Amino acid sequence: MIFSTIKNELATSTFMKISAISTLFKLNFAQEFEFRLAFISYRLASLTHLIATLLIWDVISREQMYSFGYNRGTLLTYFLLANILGALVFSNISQDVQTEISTGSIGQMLVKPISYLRYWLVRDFSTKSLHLLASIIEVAGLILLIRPMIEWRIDVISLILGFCSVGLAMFLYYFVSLSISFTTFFSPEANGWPQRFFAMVVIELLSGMLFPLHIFPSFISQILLILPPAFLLYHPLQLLLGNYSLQMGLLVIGLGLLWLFCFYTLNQWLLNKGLQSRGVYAS
Amino acid sequence: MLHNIAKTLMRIGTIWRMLALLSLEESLSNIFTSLLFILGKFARFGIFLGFLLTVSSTLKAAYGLSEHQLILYFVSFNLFDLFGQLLFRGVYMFKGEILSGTFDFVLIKPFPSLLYILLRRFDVLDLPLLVVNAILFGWLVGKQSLTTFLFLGLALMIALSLLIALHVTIAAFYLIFESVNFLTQIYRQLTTMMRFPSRLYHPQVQYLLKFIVPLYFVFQLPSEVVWLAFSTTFWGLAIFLSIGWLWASLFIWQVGLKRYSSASS
Repeated sequence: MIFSTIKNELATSTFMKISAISTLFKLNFAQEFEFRLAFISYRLASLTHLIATLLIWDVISREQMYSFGYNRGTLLTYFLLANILGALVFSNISQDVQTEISTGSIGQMLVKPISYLRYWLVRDFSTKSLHLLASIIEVAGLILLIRPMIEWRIDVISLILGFCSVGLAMFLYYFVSLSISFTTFFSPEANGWPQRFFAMVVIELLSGMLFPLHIFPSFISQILLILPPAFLLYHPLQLLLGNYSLQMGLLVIGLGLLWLFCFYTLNQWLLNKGLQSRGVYAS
Repeated sequence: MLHNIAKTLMRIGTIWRMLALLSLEESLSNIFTSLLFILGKFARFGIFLGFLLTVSSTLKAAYGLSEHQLILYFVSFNLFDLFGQLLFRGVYMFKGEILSGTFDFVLIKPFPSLLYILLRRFDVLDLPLLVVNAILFGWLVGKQSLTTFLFLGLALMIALSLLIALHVTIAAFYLIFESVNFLTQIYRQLTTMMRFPSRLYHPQVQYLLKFIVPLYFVFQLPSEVVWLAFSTTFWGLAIFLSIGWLWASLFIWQVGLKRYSSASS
C-alpha cells in the first residue's frame, strides 16, 4: 500500500516536472517570436555575417586550388555548417541573467520553488531550437540560390562523435555564458556588458567561426586548439565533417568534458560567492 | 547671419562638450570594466591582424597585393569604424530610447533632436585604439606629394559625410519601424567586408559596396588615394554620392519624426 502510494506520488511529480518544462519551453518559444520583425532583423544580421564571411573566403581561395588544406568546396561546407552550429551553440536567452542580477530581479526568481539553472537551461534550449530552424532555412535558401559545391565526407562514427561533441558544446557554452553573467554580482553597475563583450570577442575569433583555427602557424594553432572556444565550434565541426580520427575524436570529447567540469565548478563558485558576499539588490 | 550661425555652433559645441564630459565620467567610474572593453577591442584588432598576416602570402600570390597595402586597408577600416563609434555611439543606444519612451524627453528639449541622438555619447573607450590606428595610418601613408594630401583631405571629407549619413539613416529607420531591431548589427556585419580590399570581390558585390551601401567610400577610398589615381568623373560621382546620401538621410529622418508616435508607457 505504502509502496504503491510512493510510486503514484513519484509518477505524478515526474509528470508535473515534464509538464512544467514543456510549458516553459513553449512559452519561451512564443515570447521569442512575439516581435517577429525584431527576430527577422536578428536573423538578417546573422545571414549578413555568413555572406560576408563566405565572400571574404571566396577572395582568399578563388585563385588557388587549395588554401590552408581546404579546396573551395570543403571551405564553403565548413562555413555553411559553422553557421548552423553557431545558431545552435551560441544563441541563448540566459544572458538576461546579468540584467536580472544588476537590477535585482533575480531575487524574485530565487525564492520560487524551481531550479534557477534548470529554468534558464530550458529557456535556452527553446531559443536554440528556434534559431536552429531559422538557420537551416537560411542555409538551405543560400544553397538553392548559389548552388555551391558541397563536399562532406560522411562517416557514421565521426557523425556520432560529432553529435556528442555538439551536445557538449551547448552545455559548455551555457556554463561559460552563465559564469560571465554571475560576474555581474561583483560589478553590477555596468550590467555585465563589458565582461560579455570581451568574452564574445574572444569566442567569435577563437572558436573557428571566422576562420579555421589550424591556418595559423603550428605553435599558435596548437595553443588555440586546447582553449575552450575551440570546443564550442571548431572541434565539433571537424568531427561532423569527418576530419578527425577516432582517437582524436575521443581525445576532443575527453578534453571537452574536462572544460565542462571546470566551467560548471566555476559557475557554482561564482553563484555561491556572489550570493554570499554581494547579495542581491532589492527591486 | 554669420553671427547667428557662429552662435548656434558655439552652443552646440558647448552642449557636446558637456555630453562628452559626462560620458567620460561614466566610463571612468569603473576602471576595471572600462579596461575590459579596451582590452576586448585591442584583442579583436590583434587577432584579426594576425589572421591577415597569415593569409597575406596567399593574397600576394593571387592578386599581387603587398603586405603593406593589405595592412593599410585594415588600418583604414579600423580608423573610420572606430571614429564612427567614438562619435556616434548614441545611435547604437537609440532603439532602447524609443522603446522605453525616453526619446520623448529629447524631443521637448530646445536642442536639435538628431544632433542629440548622434552626439549624446562620446565613447572614450574607442579612443586608445583609434589613436593607435591613426598613428599607423600616418606611418603607412608616409611622405606624399601635396596633391595626394589634397585628395586625401577630400577623401576624408567624403568619408566623414557618408559616415554621418549612414548613422542618420539607421536612426531614421529605427524611428520609422518601431519593431525593427538590430539595424546597427546588420550595418556592422556589412562593414566587416571592408577589412579586405573591395576590388577583390565580385563585380556585383563591388557595385553594392559602392553605390547601394557606399561603404567603399567611407572605409577604403582614403587608403586607395595614396597609390591610385582617380579620374575627375570618379571624384565628381563620389562628391555627388556623399551629398545625395546626406540629403536623403536627413529627409528620411524628417519623415521618421513626422510619423513618430510616442511608445512611452
